[in-house]
Amino acid sequence: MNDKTCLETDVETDDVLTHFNKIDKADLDNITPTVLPVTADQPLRDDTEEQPLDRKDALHGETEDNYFVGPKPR
Amino acid sequence: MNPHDQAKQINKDHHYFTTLTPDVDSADKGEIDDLTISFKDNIVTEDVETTAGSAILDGHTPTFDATVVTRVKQAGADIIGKTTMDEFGFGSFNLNTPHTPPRHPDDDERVTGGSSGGAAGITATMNDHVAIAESTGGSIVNPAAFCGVPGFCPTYGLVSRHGLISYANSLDKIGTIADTTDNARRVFNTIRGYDERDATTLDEEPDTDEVEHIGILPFNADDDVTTAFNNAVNTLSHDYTVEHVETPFTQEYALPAYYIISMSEASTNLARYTGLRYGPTGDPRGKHFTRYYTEMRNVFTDEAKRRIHLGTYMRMEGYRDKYYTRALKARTKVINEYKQLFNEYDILITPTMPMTAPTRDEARNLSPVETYEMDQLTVGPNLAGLPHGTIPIGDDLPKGLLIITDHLNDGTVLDFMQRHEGRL
Repeated sequence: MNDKTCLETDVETDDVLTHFNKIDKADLDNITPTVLPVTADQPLRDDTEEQPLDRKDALHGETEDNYFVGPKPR
Repeated sequence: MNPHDQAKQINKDHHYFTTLTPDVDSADKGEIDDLTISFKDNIVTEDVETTAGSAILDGHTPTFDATVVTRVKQAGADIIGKTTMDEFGFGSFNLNTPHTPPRHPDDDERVTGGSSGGAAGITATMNDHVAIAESTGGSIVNPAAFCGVPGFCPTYGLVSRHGLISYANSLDKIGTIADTTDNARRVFNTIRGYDERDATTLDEEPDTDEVEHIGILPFNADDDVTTAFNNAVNTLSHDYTVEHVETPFTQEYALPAYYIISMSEASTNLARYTGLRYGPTGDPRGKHFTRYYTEMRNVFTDEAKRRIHLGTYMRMEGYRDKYYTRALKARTKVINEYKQLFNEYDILITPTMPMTAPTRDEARNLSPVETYEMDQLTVGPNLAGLPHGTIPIGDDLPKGLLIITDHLNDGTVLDFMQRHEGRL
């Protein structure tokens, strides 16, 4: 067991972060994140789309501020 | 020999189980009552210790069964235990563990692969056994390929994750490693399906398509693996149209995108392990919470600490857009690249792992980045949530053929695996 605490630990992180910085070079203009799972009738969903304010679709929430945009209840 | 006694015997030398369960005569008879089943140790089981391979959950005994456990029990299977894994799934060789690492079934010095190392090892050693395992970035097909058994990871959302101890929520999937593809399919059919306790499950039936066109994805592998793969392709080319395809974006960005997303989500999931609610508790009297919290979390392996540090950093204000959000966008491009290929090809193939199982010393000498690069061939389908499976190919030390197809075409992968299992 490492005798240093989680905050004091000296695990290697710099090389890993350098590797991750490759993502800076990706051309991601006009790309939006996809929410999984992908369904047959709606192949790719976009979690940045504005959601309709339909109370029947909401799991929780009474106001626009805490509107829940998760999957519909079954 | 009684399978429970057999598992106990095997475990003495091979360390495939964290917990062995007693032989209980099940009153339930069902479609899989001829099989023994094990669960990866991150799938919760009522009154049976569940630690996700971590010392921080030592002694943790859940009060309920995961949905997949309930379904397996109702189908009459005999449950023999909880299998060894890298801590919370953090690893490719099952060496990131506070316990004795599992031994490769053919060579005591070699690793089983990971993170579902115990699951693959016991499946390679026992007949009529199916291990229910979990994959975030390749944790089913990686050890299955190293140990020479079929492994299957379904479309994200087809199997309930209620009761799965989370590693990275947008990537985790439960699947099967089995002595035969037929048994992997039978258990998959038992555990899949909509679950009201998991809002991400799909209420859809997986499809099966006829395979005519196969695309070979680009890969870099050692000579042994490349030879076995080329021989397999030669055999397949008698029955199918086989062509090389390109995935430039996936090749370049799937690996960093996968690790950014998985570490970011892991760092939030692991925040709950404070030494207060789950697992061992210390004596917090007279200590500032931060001191107590960090002392209790000292039991994490170095790899878990690395992922907590990096994941937390990449979610910090000002860095989230640079890392996590960009990685999510990269995932969309990876999915689109696969979708383009599936317009033309029914399945895509590569070797499952770029090498055969290394020795424990060889694996320990790899740097973190070198270790992550071992996942180069498996992170793509996992990042995209695509169904994929592996079957053994070649001779000598086991090697795997990775088969990937479009979302919800799980039957296509399983049919192809079953048709060619033992013939490549």
